Amino acid sequence: MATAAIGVVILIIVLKVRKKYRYESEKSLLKVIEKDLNNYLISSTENEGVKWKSVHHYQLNEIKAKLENSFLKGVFIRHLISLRKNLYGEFDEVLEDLYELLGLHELSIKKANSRRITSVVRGIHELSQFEYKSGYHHVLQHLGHSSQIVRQETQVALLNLSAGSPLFFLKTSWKDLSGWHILSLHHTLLRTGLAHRVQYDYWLRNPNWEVRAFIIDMCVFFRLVAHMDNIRIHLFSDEYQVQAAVLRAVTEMGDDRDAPGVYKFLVNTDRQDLKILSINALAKVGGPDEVEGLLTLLETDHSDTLLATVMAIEEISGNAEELISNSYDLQSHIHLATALAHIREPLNNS
Amino acid sequence: MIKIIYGLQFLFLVYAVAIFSSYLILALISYFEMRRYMTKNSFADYKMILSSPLAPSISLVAPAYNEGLTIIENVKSLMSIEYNNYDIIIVNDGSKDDSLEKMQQAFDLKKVDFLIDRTLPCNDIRAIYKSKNRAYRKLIVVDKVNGGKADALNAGINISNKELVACIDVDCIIQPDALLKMVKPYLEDRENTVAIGGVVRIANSCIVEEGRLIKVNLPESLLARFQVLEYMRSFLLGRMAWSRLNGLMLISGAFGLFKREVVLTVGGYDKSTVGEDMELVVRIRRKLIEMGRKAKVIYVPDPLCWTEAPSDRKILGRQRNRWMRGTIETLSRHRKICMNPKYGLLGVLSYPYWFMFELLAPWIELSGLLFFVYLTIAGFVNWGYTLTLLLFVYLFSIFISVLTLLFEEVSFYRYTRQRDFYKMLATACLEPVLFHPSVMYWAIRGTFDKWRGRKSWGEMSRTGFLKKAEAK
Repeated sequence: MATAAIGVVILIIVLKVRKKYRYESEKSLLKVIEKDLNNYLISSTENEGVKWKSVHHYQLNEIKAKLENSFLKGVFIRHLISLRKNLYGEFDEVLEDLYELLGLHELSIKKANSRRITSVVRGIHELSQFEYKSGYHHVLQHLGHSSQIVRQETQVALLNLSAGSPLFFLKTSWKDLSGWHILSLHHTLLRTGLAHRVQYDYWLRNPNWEVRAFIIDMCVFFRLVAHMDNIRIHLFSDEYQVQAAVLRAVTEMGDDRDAPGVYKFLVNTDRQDLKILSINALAKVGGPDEVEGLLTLLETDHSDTLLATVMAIEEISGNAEELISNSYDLQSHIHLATALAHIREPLNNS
Repeated sequence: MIKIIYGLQFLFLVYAVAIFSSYLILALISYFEMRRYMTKNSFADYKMILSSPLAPSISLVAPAYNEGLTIIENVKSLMSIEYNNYDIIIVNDGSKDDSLEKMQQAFDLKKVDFLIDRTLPCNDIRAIYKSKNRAYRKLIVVDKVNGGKADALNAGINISNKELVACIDVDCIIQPDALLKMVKPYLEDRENTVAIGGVVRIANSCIVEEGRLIKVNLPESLLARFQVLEYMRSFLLGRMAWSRLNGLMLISGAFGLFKREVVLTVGGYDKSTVGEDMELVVRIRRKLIEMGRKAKVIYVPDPLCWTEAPSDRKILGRQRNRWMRGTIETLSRHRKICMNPKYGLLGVLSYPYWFMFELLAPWIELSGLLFFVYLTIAGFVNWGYTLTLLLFVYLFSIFISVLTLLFEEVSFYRYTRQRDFYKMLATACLEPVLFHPSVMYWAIRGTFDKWRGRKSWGEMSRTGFLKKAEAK
């Protein structure tokens, strides 16, 4: 036991020394390479003349000479990724070229083809960050990987490197669509400007509810009103996640034609969360007929539903107080009176 | 007689082997889970959540009782948390000091009409305040009749209308990106995740400015350092593994995130227990299983919340006494789940583990000690064998602590100075002799106090965090 404890202590010390050494190497590399890199970036964006090409070549060799081993190359790749996040415009392309010219993509491909999951994820991430299109097939092979972490990183990378249909992987990898992954895909679609290339109507007919809910949410995020006809038909679909997505779409798009359908859905659903989403949707698309219906819902004991209903009536009619007091005795319905006071209070609406 | 002695010796041996093996197995599972966590999150861009319409809404619920000295700084610190869709509900639990007046003045508060959900039981709410200043529009202050921490949390959850509630101690320092990191596992499985716990670290001797942690230092006091090691061991080795197994029974009361709908369904915090944090988690899991729903309780190993640990033995004793009473209350209330396969891993593994190695451990240690005294008096002791065994136990506890230090080194690496490592190593060597017996004593006293019907929390005074100027 003593040997084991001493062994672990020695391991910690070794790790500490290694960490310190790596930190120092990283610091010194970035220090010596910074000047070359700055010169290279500036010269690349300034002039394309013959004289500059030789300077360029010289600077490139200077940088290359300093990247002696894979650790330093890894450090440099990380540095380039962080630069890419902070620099815009033509620097973006220069950094992508530099990544290729220095042969750093070879290291990333090697990592992507490695057996270790951590390396694979790192490799895919690097290829994706530099949009290294020739690495597409090295990434694609991991689409069916046993690790969800790898699969999700692969999908984001394929979206980044995509030339054709950006979300083609949904056909087989729909099980990976967690909230976090949807967020990543949305973010990537937004960043790459590929949202317009997605075949929304095609995906809205997909048999998997995960895909349908995801596509409806994307239509909401990108405000794609044109697809609303194919979205609203899913309101009475079996899966409540799809129904919730449709209700969010109705709320966002604000098409009055949806009001009767949403109201019908509201009175038929048993789920409290869907009731509230329906009421919120009606607040945006409802009219006098829906107000009549909403007034009948005010007997609820559920305060979130009550408040949402009062707010919806106010939003549609603009005189919730009068309408409610005509139908209910506010003296005996203290909750209703409080809900009205709640929505009257400007600080509650700020 | 000899047969009884051998029998008892055998029982103690089996218990020791079981506890040691369980530590090793948990450490192994923790290692794999930690690796998985690091791989998964190495490129996670948490800032994406900030601008996403998919981010769940959160209420930070913080009960405050006589916190007048630090309340303004604490609330300001909560307001600078990196998250968009959230509000802060400070529940003034009938403070006898000037906490409420200070908040009214500092945040320009105005009494408002507010519709309150009365689903969870709580004492009367006197008033709800909101700020007239738009800069503090996220703040809601609830003034209520004193009812204790659980009661105040229930009031805050009633007031909230968000998807998630983060129940926190108002005097804790929450890392600015804490909510982003806690929300990620929820987003990964929105359907089944019901609670997420964060790591609590000790902030004694750390430098804190305006409610923000500026510099992490190892505590100067040995007592606080023992607790650093203990917390690290518990969070990095224990809870990480239980999270992997989906067998977590405890989320620290200092910082936990819950699905509000689930908390309302199970009836909120129980006011009659001093271990309300553990009791809620066990009840959530139990009720949801009984309702046929899945319940995932996840633990995020990043150090997200920093708290001041008792640096006085008396106060620490009171805290441990309360923890033990809380554990007994929770385990006895939910004894139905013990060894009941209907409750899955919770029933057949988590509960028995807590019962055997948390609740009974101090008593078994005490009986082992008494047995040893008897054997010595009766002249039955084989000294060579006994000393070897004692040395083994001592070295094993050091080994587990050193393993924790290794986990810290390869994961979050907060104590960066070389001398901190040697200090922690010394602490690991001293802990089994100087700290563990006290923990055992406090736990036994806690059990006695529970039998005697003691229900109080015990006074918990704090000395406050170290400021930059004081550190110089």
